[in-house]
Amino acid sequence: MIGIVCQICAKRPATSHLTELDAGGQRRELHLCATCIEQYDLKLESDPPPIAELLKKSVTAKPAPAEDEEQADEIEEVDEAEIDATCATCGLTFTEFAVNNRFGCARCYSDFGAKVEGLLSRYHGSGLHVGRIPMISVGRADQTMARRAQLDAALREAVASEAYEKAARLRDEIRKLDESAT
Amino acid sequence: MTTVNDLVARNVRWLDSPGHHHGIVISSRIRFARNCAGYPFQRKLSRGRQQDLVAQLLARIGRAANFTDAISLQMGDLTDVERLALSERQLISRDLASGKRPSAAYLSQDETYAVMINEEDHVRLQVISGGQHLSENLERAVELDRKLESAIDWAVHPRFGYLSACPTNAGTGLRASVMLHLPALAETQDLRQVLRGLGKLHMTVRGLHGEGSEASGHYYQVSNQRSLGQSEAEIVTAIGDTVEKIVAYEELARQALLDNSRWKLEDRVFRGWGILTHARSISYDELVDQLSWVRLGTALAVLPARDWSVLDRIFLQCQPAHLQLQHDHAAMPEARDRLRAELVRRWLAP
Repeated sequence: MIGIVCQICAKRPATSHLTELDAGGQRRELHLCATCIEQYDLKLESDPPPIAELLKKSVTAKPAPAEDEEQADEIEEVDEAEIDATCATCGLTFTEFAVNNRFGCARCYSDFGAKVEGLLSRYHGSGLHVGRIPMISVGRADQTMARRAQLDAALREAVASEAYEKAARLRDEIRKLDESAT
Repeated sequence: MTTVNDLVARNVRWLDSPGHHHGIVISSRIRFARNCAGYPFQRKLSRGRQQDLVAQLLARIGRAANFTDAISLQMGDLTDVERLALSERQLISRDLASGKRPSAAYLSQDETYAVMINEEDHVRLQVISGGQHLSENLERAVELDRKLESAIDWAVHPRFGYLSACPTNAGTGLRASVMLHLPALAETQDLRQVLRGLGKLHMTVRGLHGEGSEASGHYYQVSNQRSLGQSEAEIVTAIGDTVEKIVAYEELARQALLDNSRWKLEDRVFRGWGILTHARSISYDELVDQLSWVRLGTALAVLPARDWSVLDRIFLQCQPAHLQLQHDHAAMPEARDRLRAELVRRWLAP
């Protein structure tokens, strides 16, 4: 197998590969790197726990600090409640998402907030689309993007100056903007 | 009306007129993942709503794309073997071929365009052609996408671009891939190093049949890993540049085989030729492996010059579902292996 990336950090190459069949005979796979296994204390040695349980642990547990790890995402620190977030539109939980790496609807991208942003940035090396958009939404999207950029900058500033209440307000506004855009 | 059986009886036309680097670059493909605004993604859609979506999309796409001669197929109307044959021709994905849910496809008569409906994403459109023509294919895919967006509201996000069920497809929704035949790099053990380099460039390598498939017959599909944060043109240029380099490495490796171990190369090629022209039973996997050496031998003039389309035809028509659809008594693997060997002998006969 070539180039399988760890499903938790979405950046390091996976070294452990788990496969299980659920009751319906559906195959499920999980690929993990050694660093995430250690950080999230996933205990794979003897009898590995079900994949869903491992993923839940990786979503709900705080990773143990690792020396080579980058600073935790500033935005993530603001919102603890996002950890087991549920999409208000389709009802998908973040844990369910993590099991299959598939979203339930377009709103999941907004409803899971900073988690999605972090995930996309880690996987794609960027969280900002620069390619085509449908002609029909060009004007609308330009305005929204400009406003979004302003709010982003303000949020970063608020986090840097530890003004968490302000940051939470800004984050809500960003979320609303994203929802209206999708 | 064209049926799947009509399609299967033909050679793939785009393989007949390949671009440059014939012998190394087999084909290039552009794929866009798109979802409709206002509908949950496929996993969260009830079967009833999936049926409704498929019907709506078939009608809208048909009108908007103004396909004059396209073949429109409801997957539910096809047998398992017919769907499998379409996936063997790379017209639909293995996922769509599994026939687990309501789905449909539009295919152009020349088989260069395919629009899949209710795949993992609501719509996946692809443009494929022989040789390295990623930029041209991108232009054609964008042109088709423009037509579709006049009739369908795609789900887009101001920062994340086109939204896909899988976050690895978000942004452009673009997967640009090139199928390469790299027997010499594989033989000289330099392939591992080349593949490692691709990972650093955020490109992935897959086998003949896409995601999860092993590389058989030394065929490798190189594609972009990242779809967000770069424009479509940037992605295509990066893949194109990388493919150029891989082709150059493969050419060097081929020359090295000729210069340093010609007898070894000839041995491989003539063994392949011997098996293909004499076997009385052959599995598709073995056929692909031996055909790989015959292709290499043809490209390097170790074997006499031969019409490439014969090799392409063997590759295509000897696949399991293609055999089953066109020949009686090809339902069981053993019978198919015998039939396959017979066809190959006939097609390679002087």
